[in-house]
Amino acid sequence: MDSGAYLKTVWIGIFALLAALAGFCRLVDPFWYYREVSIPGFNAVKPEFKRYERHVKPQIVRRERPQALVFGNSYAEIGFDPLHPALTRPDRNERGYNFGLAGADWERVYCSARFALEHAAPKRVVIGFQPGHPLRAVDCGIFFAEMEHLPVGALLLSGKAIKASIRTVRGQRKQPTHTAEGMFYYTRFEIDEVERRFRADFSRYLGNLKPDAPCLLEPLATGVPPDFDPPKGEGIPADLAGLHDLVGRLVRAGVETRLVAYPVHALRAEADIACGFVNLRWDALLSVARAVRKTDPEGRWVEVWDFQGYDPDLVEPIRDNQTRLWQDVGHFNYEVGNRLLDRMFGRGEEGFGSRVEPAVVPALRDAFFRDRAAFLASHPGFMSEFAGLIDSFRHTR
Amino acid sequence: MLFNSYEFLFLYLPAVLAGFHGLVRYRRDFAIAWLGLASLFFYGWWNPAYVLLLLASIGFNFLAGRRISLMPERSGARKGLLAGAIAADLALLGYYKYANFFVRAVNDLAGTHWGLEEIVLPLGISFFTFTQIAFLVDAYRGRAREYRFAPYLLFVTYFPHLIAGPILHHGEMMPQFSKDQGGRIADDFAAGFTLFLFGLFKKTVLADGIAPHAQQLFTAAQSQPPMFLESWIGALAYTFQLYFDFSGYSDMAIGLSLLFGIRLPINFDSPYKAADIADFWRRWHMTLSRFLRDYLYIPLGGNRCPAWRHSLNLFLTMLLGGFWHGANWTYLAWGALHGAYLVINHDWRVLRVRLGFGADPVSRPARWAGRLLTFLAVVFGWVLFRADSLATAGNILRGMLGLNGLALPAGLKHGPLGERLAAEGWTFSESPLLHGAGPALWIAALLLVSMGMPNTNEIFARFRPSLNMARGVPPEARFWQWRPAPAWALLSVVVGVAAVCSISELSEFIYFQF
Repeated sequence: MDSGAYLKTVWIGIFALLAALAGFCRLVDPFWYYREVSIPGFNAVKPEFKRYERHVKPQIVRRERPQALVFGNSYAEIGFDPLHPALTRPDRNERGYNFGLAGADWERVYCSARFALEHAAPKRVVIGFQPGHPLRAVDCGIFFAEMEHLPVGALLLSGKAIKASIRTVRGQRKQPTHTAEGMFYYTRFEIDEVERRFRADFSRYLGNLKPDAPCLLEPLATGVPPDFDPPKGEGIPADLAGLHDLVGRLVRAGVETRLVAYPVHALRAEADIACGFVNLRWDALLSVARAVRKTDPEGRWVEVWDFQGYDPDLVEPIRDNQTRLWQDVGHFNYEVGNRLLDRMFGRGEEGFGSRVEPAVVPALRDAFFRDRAAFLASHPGFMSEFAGLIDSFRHTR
Repeated sequence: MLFNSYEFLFLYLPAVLAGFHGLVRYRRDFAIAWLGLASLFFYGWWNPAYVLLLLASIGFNFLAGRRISLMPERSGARKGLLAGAIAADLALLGYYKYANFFVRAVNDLAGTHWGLEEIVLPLGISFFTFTQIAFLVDAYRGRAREYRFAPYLLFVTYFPHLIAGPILHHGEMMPQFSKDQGGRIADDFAAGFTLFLFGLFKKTVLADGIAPHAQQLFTAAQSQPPMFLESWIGALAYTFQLYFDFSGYSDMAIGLSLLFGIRLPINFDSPYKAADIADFWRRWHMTLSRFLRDYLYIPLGGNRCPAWRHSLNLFLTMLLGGFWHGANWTYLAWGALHGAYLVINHDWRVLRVRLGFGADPVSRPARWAGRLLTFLAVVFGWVLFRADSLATAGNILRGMLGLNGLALPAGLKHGPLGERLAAEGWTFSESPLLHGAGPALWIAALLLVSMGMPNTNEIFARFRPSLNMARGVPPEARFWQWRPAPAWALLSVVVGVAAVCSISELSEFIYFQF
C-alpha cells in the first residue's frame, strides 16, 4: 500500500464513519433539537432531553418564537402546560412553550425571560417565583453566551450525542420525560414514590433549620400568627431589582404577564407557620406587588397571583398511593397548574387564589388565617399528620 | 481557533491546504505569503484587534533584526540596539503578562492599594516574544539574516506553532520556507495527517478524558485540605492530563506542518521515562529547554564557572523559566523547585564521580529507582504548577505526604471488610475521586501509555516527521512503527473518529495562556 492509497483509505473511512454517525444522531435527534423525525418505537421518547434542556430550550424559543411562554424552575416546568387554552389560542395557530428549567434559580429565570424577549415576541407569559427569595438583577452575559452558543457539531458528532442516540433508541419503552412543548413530567408516573419523596423533601426543609427552630422544639405548636406590620415601602429594594427591571421590559413589550408565587402543599406551608416564617411570605408578596405596581401603575400588563391556602387540591392526602396532584411537597402536577392558569387568565372559578395588590395584602393574609382556622377545625387529622412529619424527622436525624 | 474545533478541522485547514498547494505549483513565494495571511487569520479568529499587536511586534523585530545584521560586528551601537529591542519585547510581554502580578505583589508587600484594570493576555504572546528574541540574538551573533518580510512574518506567525509552540529557531525554518526540501508530498501528507490524528486523540480522548479528575481535586483543595488518596489521584490525573494535552498539541503541530512539507522540531520525547531530572528537561518541552539553555543559561555563564555560580545559573534559569509560564507565585515556586532539583541532581552526580561510581547508575534497580524518584519529583512539581495559589498547593502537597489523614473509598464501607475496617477506626470518604475504579483505571492506562509504549516520534520515525529524532528509535524497522498499511489505516480511522467525536465541547489547551 503506498501513501496515496493509504490516505484515500483513511479519509474515506473517517468521513464515511463520521457521516454515518452524524446521520444516525440527526435522525434519532436525542436532544430534541431538530424535531423533524418522530417515529414511535424509534425516537419519539427522548429520555436524554432533560440533561441538555438548558442548551436546547433557548434554541427552540429562538427558532419557533412561541406566542406563550412559561418561565421558572422545575415547579413551573412541571406544573404549567404551555398548550393550555388560557395561554395559547389554537384557533389562531398560536404556539406555546414551557421555558422552565429544572433547578433554575431566579438569576437564570430572569436571564431566560430577557433572552426570550430579545429573540421571540411572546404575547403572554407566566413567571413562577418563590416568595421570600431575592429577585435580583444580574449581568446576563454568561447566561446569554450559554444560551446563544449551542455547539451544533457536538449534537451530531460527539461521544455524548452517539451515546445519547443509542440510549434514546433503546429507551423507547421508558415513560416520556417531557412534552414536545417543554413541559416536564418529572416523576409523575411513580405514584408509589410520592409519599417517600414528600417525607424526604419535608425532612430536607427541616434539616436546613437551626436546632432551636420553634417547630423542632414544640412540634405540636399550632402556630398562632404573629402581628403583621409590614414596612412602608417606597423604593425598590436591591433584592427585587431584577423583577422590577423584567416587569419594565415586559410592559414595554406589551406582554400579558402573570407572576405566580408557587403554591406548596398545605403541610409544607404549615411548616413555614410553625417554624416561625409565617410573615415572610406576606412581606415578600407585598414587596413584589409594590414593585410591579411601580412599573405598571394601572395593572394593565402584569398581575401578581397567590394560591396558597386550603383548597382541596392543596391539601390532597399524601398516602396509600392515591396522590394524583403532587409529586412531593412543592411540585404540583399540571392538573393543579391548569386551574391556576384558568384563574389567572379569567377562565376559572372565583374563590380559588387571589390577585395580589399592595393594598389588599393584609386582607389576604387575614383571609388565609381564617381559612386555616376553619380547615383545622374541620380536619383534626391534619395537625396530627403534620406533627408526625416533624416527629419522624426528629427521630431519624 | 483551536486545532480541536470543527471549524478548524472541516473549514480552515482544508481551505489553507488547498490554497497553499495550489499556489506552490506556480510560485513558492505566493504560497508562503498565503500561509502567512492564513496564520494571521488563524490568530485573529480569537480577537481581531490583537492581530495589530502581533503585526506591530513582528514589524518592530523584523526592522530591528535587519538593522542589527547590517551594523558592524562588535560595535557598541549593535549591542545597544539588541539590548533595546529585547527590552522592548520584554516590556510588551511584561505589560500584558506581568503588570497585574507586580501591582498585586507591591500592594501585598507595601500595603498600598494601586489598581490596574485587568489586562487581556494576547494568545501565545510568550511564544512569539521568545521566538523573536531568539531571532534578534541570532542576528546579533551573525547566525540569522532576514531581509524579506513575508518569510519572517510566516516564521513568527506560522499557525501550527503560533499559539503554543514549539519555539522555533530562525535557522531551522527559513531554509524550509524558501525552497521545497524534496520530501514526497504523499508520504508527508500520510505521515502528517496520521500524526495529527494521533495528537488530536491524545488531546480530546486522553487529556480531556482524565481532566475532570484533576479539576475535582484542585477545585476542592481551594476550600478544604484533601486526604492522601484523593491528593495522589488528582495530582497524577493532572500529571497525565498536562502531558497528553501538551504533547498532543505538539504532535498536531508537527503533523499539520508536515502537510505543508515543513518540519518542526520535536517537543516531547517520553519525559516520564526520564532517568533523572536533567534528563526530564531534555525530554519535556524540549524547544523551551533549548531556548533557556541557549539564550539564558549559557549567557549567564553556563557551567564554565565556579561550582556555586553554576548552581546559581541553573537555579536562575529554571526560576525565570517558571515565571515565563505565568504571572503567579505558584509558577515562581515551581521554577524554583525545579531549579533546586537540578542543583541537587548536579551535585549528586559530582559526588558519585568523586566517590568513583560514575555519574549515571549502571544497575537496573538503580536506574528504575532514579526513574521513579524523578517521576515523583515531577508530580510534586505539577501540583505547584496547576494550583491557583500557594495555599491550595500546600493543601494538596500536605495531603500527598499523608499529613491530612487517610480515608478509604466510601464504596468499601458496605460489606464485611468495610465493617471490620470501620470498627478499627478507618474513615471513609465520599469524594468523587474515590467513586469506583474509574479514576484509578484512567491513571493506570495513561501510566502504561506514557511509560511503557513508544512515543509518537518513535512510531513515525521511519518517515522523519520532525527536524530531529527521538532517542528511542531503533536502527531497524519494528512492527509498531507506522507505515502506509491497511492495519494502520484501520487504526487511524478508529483513532480519528474517536478523536473527532470527543471534541464535543470546545476545551482550551492548557498552554494557551502561557
